[in-house]
Amino acid sequence: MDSQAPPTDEQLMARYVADGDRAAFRALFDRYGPRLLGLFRRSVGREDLAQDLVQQTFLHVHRARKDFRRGAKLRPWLYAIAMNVRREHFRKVGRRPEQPLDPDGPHVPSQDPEASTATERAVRRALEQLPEAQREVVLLHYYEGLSMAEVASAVGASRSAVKVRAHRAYNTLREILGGTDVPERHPTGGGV
Amino acid sequence: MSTDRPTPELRSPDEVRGTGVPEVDALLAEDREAITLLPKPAFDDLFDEIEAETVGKRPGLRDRLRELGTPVRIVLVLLVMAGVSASFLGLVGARGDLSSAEGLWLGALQVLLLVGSVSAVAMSLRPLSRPGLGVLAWVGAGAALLAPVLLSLVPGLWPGYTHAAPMIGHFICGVGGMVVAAPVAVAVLVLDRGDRPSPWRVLLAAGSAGLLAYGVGHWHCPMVHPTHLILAHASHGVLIGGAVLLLTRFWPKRRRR
Repeated sequence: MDSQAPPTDEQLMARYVADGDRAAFRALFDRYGPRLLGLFRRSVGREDLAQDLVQQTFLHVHRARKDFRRGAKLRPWLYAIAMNVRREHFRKVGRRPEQPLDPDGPHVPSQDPEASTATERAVRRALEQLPEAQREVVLLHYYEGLSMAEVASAVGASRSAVKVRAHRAYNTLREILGGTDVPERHPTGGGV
Repeated sequence: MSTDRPTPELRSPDEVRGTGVPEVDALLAEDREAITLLPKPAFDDLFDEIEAETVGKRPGLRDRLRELGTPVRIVLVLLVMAGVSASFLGLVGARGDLSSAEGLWLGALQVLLLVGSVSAVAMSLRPLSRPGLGVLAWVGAGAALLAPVLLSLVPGLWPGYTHAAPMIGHFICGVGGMVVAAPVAVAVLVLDRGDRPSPWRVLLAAGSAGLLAYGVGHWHCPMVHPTHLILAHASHGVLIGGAVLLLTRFWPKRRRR
């Protein structure tokens, strides 16, 4: 076994749960913080809110660490927390998950309005039109790269149910985006 | 925009299919890869904030309690329920008007109430690492809160005296029930892991507390007139739930630095 291989998520989690190892916690944050930030940005469309949800997710990870079972996989466990944090956020604000329709409007991500390309806006509008159960699956499967089994575990559905949701979601996205004319596809594009 | 951090691995390629239409998949892929990384100082700041509330914080009593494993948290609430019930009945005494058959019937009904109460506790303390609850669970939650009220309206269900109780009787039973219900609701809410308990967790906590108070009330009070049961025995869950929901509106929000 390669002694230089980085520790697995589960090894880091075990160190963190057993000894309160700060370095392990930091390593987990380095691995999953950016990904969760991306997930929440796509969900809420605001940088400050997305960071707040990342913070809440890791707070719950910390408070729930003794529930993490030895031998379990970290990713579905972590993403289940993240998706519940996301759901509770939308329940609190009393609206369904949505992106701001106009990224240049008043709910702009605070850090860099230029970061949003025409493609991103078109895709996010398309995602917005999916039912929430399907959108969750696309976010976790396509964007976060979780396997179907991990997605099923994270959202609390059977693997076959998740596959059906994914299939329907991708069909819908194909229909919506198939007719999309996206004139600019460079990172600093401003126009649709 | 900083790119001095490595792009995190995004997917397990063997599992990712997309739509099957190259042009559409290209759009999706472009969006997926378009990650705006936080500049490192901002990312470190975010971690510092999290660290200050987790591994970098000296845990207080409530932190220690809510960081316990979920089975332990549930057992703690069950101990509170048992302790409060036993103390209350030990202090005020159990009713002496029941025949053995009535006692058995009452006991059977109590088992149902207890199952509902314990289920509501378990649902309220359900960790966020478990997937969201389904429709059936929500129906169960509503039933837990309303069951005492509905059971009070079933004629002849509860053995006892059916004539109307005096106002003072309503008051005494109301206070007694609250003495049983409040500690249970507080225990559940203290063990809740959120900064502000969500409304459904509050309702479940109140429902479990109300069910327990309703059950214990029947072991002490022989009055089973529907008005008395609703006003003095069955209202605790509703009152506690309403009060806590009102309080949470003024609960201070966690502030980010």
